[in-house]
Amino acid sequence: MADPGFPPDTLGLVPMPSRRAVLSRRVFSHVGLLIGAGLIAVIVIMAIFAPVLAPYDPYAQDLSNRRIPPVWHAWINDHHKASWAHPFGTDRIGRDYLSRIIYGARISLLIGTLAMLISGTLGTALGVAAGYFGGRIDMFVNFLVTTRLSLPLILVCLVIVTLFGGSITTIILALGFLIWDRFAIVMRSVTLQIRNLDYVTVARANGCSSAYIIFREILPNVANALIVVATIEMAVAILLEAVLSFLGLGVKPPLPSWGLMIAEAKTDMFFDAWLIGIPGIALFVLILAINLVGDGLRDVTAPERRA
Amino acid sequence: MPAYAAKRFAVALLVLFVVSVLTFTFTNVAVDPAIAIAGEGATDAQIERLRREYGFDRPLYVQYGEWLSGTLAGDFGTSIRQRRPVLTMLAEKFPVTATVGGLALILAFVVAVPLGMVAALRPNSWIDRFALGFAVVGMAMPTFWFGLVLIIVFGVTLHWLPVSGTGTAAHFVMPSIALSYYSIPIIMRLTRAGMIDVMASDYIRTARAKGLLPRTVLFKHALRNAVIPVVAVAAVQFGHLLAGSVVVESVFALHGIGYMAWEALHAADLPVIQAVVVVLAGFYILLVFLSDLLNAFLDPRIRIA
Repeated sequence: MADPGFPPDTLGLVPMPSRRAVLSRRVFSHVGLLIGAGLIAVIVIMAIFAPVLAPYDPYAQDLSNRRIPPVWHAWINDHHKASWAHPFGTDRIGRDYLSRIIYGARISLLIGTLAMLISGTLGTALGVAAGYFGGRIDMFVNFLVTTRLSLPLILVCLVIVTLFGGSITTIILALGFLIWDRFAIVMRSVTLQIRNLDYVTVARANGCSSAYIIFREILPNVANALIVVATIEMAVAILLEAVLSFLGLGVKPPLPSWGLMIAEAKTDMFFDAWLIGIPGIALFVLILAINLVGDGLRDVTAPERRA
Repeated sequence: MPAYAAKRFAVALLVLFVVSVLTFTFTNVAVDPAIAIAGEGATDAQIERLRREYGFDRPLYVQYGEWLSGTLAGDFGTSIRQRRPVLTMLAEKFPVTATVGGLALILAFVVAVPLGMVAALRPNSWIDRFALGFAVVGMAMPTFWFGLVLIIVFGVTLHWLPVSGTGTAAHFVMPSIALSYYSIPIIMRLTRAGMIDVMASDYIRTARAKGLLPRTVLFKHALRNAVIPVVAVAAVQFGHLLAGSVVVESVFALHGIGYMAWEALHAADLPVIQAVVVVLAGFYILLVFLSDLLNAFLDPRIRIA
């Protein structure tokens, strides 16, 4: 007889690992996901505890300490002004750069999260409706998506924010009502896939209302795909805010938006490259972290669909 | 095929119509064009007179009709600030934007397609990991910041390339590189995914079993099929690159239509803003229409469904 591969006394008694256990093992063995989640945790803590963590008031100007280079200039080229007093240096009007970076995380996360929630709600509603009901509703949603995609995104954002005033609220609303397209497209195709599965058919045969089926049968089963799109769109929103602020039509000074900090440092960048380097790296790390989490979640929840 | 093309064309026209209505309405609701023309310090009476002179007191749909018939005849109105026909301004600036966008697209293809191919042929090798890392970095790098970094490295430190302006061909090198990195990740990932699918397909196995040279299998059988979805995406990406060029144009002080729109925004120059948005949207719609046709031509299943 062939060796069954396990001791005969446990035959049939080896418990299958639970779904939760499988998922948590996959999560904790995915390096990218862990790194991304760790970085996001650091940035979120930075944003929440900004008043405690920031060494200075991010708006306080100190004209006698302008454009002090970051602390590593003291080590590399022995700059006499660089010191731990201002680890990231100061900007052209003497504001502490580290404090501004810490407070800037608040703006990026606030705009990214709220814009993502608005666009997610809008796009999911449209996509699920299109996928579930099909027919004319599907055609209408398709038309909306095509129309939205044909609008030049950055330019339309610029137009809206300029014409309606560049407050944080306007930026959030403009982005929220513009970047729902991917939500709609993905939610539509996922809904189409599960609409005709047995459990939905059973619910329909049992006389459940469309609302019940959508909220209790469809939505819980598209949640994984939804979270992955949400991470992408949050990154898109954060990048767009930075672009708007960089072009001088987004967040208004003296708010410490990272994009705005890069714009303010543009005139000095030939002499002090770190002035655009630091906020740029902050932006890069945040977007990278969000993308790593998104890619990781896709791998973990749907490994068969890895691209 | 003609029926399919006609249907797509009708949808494209309808989309363009809706976009133009949205653009016209939004801009006119947000800004009073009479105040924008009158400028700072104009009295109420002056503004009122301008409003009647230019016909801004008429219902919006009448103004839209007038604007539409003008636009269809190739007349986009007159710039408020520069007092020149918008069409002339567009014709002047569009070549710059199209050059940067076109070069960026070519560059993105030249880098992304071979990289995606090689990555797909050796999954999980060091080159695959490098390609993936290159894409992940590209997706997280803000285009405007990448542009500034290029300026510091190649313009200021190494003095290899001019920092801003449009004088010579060298002026277009950095903007095109900066813009192309936006499209590289998506094109690379698509090529890689398409190539992996194709290499696992039956007809590749058959081709190999027949004893064809690996080179023939790769280039005549695999690449052709793997590249179909990528070519279709190229059209859409070109649209994105043209629309996204406003960012690089402002970084490198290139006077393309993005820069023109950005200037127009500061002066509330409505005719220019409307024209740029509608022209970019129209271009994108045209590209998507062409890519739909190409897809249907290459894959007969699409035009039947």
